Amino acid sequence: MNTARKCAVVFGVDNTADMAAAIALRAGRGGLHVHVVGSRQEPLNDVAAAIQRSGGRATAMALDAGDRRQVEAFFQRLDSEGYQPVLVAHGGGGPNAQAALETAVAEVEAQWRRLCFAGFLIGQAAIPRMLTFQQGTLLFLGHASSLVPQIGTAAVAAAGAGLRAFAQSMAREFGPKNIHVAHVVLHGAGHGTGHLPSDAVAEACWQLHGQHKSAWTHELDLRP
Amino acid sequence: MNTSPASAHRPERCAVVIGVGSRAGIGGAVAYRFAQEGLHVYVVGRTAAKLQEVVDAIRAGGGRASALINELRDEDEIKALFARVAAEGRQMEAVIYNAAYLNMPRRFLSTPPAFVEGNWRLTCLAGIVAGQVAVRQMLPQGHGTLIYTGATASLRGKPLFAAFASAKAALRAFALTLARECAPQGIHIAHVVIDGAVAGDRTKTALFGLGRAALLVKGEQGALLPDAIAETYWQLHVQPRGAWTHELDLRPFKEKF
Repeated sequence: MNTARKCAVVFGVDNTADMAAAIALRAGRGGLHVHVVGSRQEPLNDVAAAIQRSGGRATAMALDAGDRRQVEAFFQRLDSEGYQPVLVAHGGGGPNAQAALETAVAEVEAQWRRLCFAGFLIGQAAIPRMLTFQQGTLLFLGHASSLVPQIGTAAVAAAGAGLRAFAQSMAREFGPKNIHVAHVVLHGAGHGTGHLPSDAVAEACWQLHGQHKSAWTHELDLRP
Repeated sequence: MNTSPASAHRPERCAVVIGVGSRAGIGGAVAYRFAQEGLHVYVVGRTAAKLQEVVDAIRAGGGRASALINELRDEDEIKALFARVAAEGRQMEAVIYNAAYLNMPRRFLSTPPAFVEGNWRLTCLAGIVAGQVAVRQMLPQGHGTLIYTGATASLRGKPLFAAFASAKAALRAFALTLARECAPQGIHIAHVVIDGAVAGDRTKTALFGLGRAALLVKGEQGALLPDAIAETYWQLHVQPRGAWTHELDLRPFKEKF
């Protein structure tokens, strides 16, 4: 009998109003223990507290998702504490307005590590756990620029397109093993300043998690 | 685009082809094709012997070329490449970015992070840096062509090729963004999706000879001929400004996948 506690892991929470925070809150309302993950402890504590206030269960964990050891150690901790990650989400953030020609190598690399490489590491750590239970949903959040080039978004477009390709590869490889991998395209979502309401995005993500496997969505765009 | 022969009053024109292996590959074929049009071609790669083979072929065909060894390891090495070209005084008309990390199949869960990063650094990041440096060098002259070699994987990720697809997709996103931004300044940037197997040396020697067998299965002209690819690269270069292509695909007539 499976005695593991089902949980959600939401990466990339940076403030209480961002997309990732909204997904964490929605997963909490849905009855999952939520591990709220990001690089800064304070907003993580705030989001975890908000989940607890509304009757849910949550844990805050600050780490660098672009660092393989930290990601792997985090998932090992989930194992040892008896959690079963059934929903893992990563991505979001917003485009940085900068001309392609002026974008420094350091910026290209920082965006790639934060969005794309972290997505690879999270997939590599989460999928084996999901395979153990033959169940799981892995959501990657991208932007309009992940699909269609937009002036002034070069670094994040490259990182987002790279993440999308990873999501597609994972979806094809692990779909037949009951792991649902989807790429969610957020149109008009800046750094919390977008017109796309985060709670509506979170609801769409939660619906993806509940989809029946005979008709899974692998890419979903959301626009106001 | 001016394709008339260089006059005595104007500097000799040149092209830089980055990612050249043997003559029987995309890089070698593109270098040969551009040299046929009278451009001096810098063939850039890692292996001196292979570059020399391409230079010899170009010279045998009446063209001019020189070999530059460069491993594209970081921004400094890439900048040094273009500084060297600039120092020789020729007008840089075209730059082709054809370098890519070894594309070998790996299951997702056993893909080492270093393999992902290596793919990204050479296939994507070095292409980004080369493109930036090339465009900056072309801007004062008000024209120039930058062509990126893409792949089926640039458009869709598949099992076994996640790292390659991720790097190629990222390069494509950057290339198309750069293309939109630089077109008004007269710089033509294009991304070519090679949507099939290439009948080149890299394919033939891939996977311990299995690549050669795969090409046989494809049948006559079932894989892209490097010289045919090179012809389209040249046509992109001479496209009139009124109708520039930013992306096109090339696919063998009977490919089924």
